[in-house]
Amino acid sequence: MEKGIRLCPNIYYLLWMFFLPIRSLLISFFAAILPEESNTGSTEIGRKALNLQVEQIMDDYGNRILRLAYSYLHNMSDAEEVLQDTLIQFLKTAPFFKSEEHKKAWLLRVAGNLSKNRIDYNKVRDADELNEELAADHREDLSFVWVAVKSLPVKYREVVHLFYYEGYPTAQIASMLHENEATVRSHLARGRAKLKEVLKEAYDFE
Amino acid sequence: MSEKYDEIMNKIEVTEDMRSRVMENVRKADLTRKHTVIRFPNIRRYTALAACLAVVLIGVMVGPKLFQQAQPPVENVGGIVECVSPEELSKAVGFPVSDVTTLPFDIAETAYVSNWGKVAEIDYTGSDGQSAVYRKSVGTDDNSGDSSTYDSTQDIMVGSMTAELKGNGKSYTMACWTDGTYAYSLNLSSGVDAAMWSTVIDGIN
Repeated sequence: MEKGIRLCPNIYYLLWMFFLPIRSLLISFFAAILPEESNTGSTEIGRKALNLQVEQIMDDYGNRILRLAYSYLHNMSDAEEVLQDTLIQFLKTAPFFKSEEHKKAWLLRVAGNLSKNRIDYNKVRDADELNEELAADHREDLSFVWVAVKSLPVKYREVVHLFYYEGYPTAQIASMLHENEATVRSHLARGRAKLKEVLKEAYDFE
Repeated sequence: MSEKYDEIMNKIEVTEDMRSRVMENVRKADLTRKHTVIRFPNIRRYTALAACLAVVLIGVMVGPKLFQQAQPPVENVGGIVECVSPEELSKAVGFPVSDVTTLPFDIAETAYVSNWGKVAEIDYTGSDGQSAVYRKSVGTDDNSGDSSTYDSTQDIMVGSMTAELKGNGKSYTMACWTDGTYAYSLNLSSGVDAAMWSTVIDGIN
């Protein structure tokens, strides 16, 4: 009985050792026969076409992407990197858009996700160039509003930006953020309430 | 609407420098998907090759023997023994067994089988696809092994014996009879009438 118990693992071990070289050989075989990816003429043409599209996106939506990223990250270097990564993501996936609205929504969703990833991984720099600019311009009224918006939790802030600045209805924001519309409405109401509490007379989010 | 928030946001713009930097980085971006290819040192590769060849060789050498052992014996499985002639079948069962010569079709193939040394069975296959199974055993019990339900049955006298025919309407496919010492049964794939059965059974006895 004891012998049997000791023998079973040995059999499995032997079987495993038997098939391990076969697995290795198969991997080597397929690695050898599979063609490596190369930049052929057609991919070069495709890349040029995509680059032209990226330039168009930069012209049409560059500012919007940058502003959304800034609303999450509060510094220009991070926002610029998010803009860049959003465009690279477009090149990598080359998505098909049904309309300009669809394209804009896709770009903002990707930029939002990339921004939130940076926040999650605590990769955000401290400098807030916008606040410095507002202070330099002696626009304390705007600085006051910006600091109030900045202080909102991310989940309220993103909804406030998409609703007030981009003008999206709550249903579309829900679709972009993969949330329920009720949740979006709730975040918007709570964000508004907090802003009202802080801004008092300066509150103009209507 | 929030005029102040809009004014704040409108201060954020993609500058020419930023645009150049971003576009340059985007153009330089490596978009190729990287394959994870595990490359083994040559010695490991050859060892793997040798191991595979060893597996194949062992398979070639041992495989057929294993399969041979696993194959059921052609003869003597569960007491069913295939014989080559009526004489050999007679020896296997211990009583005389003869071919049926009055079947209503031309015989193309014949197989002689002893079932546990007690029931002699001869399987006939006709050139036109018809078949017949003839059984003979010691005693008077029904040896047909047939539990089918038939629409009609009929008893016919063949010599001094009574044979029970089973089938549908006037066409019978099964017959069972006994001479008091042995029990007989004959199953035809295509039914025939009572007159033909009489001829067939008469030929057997």
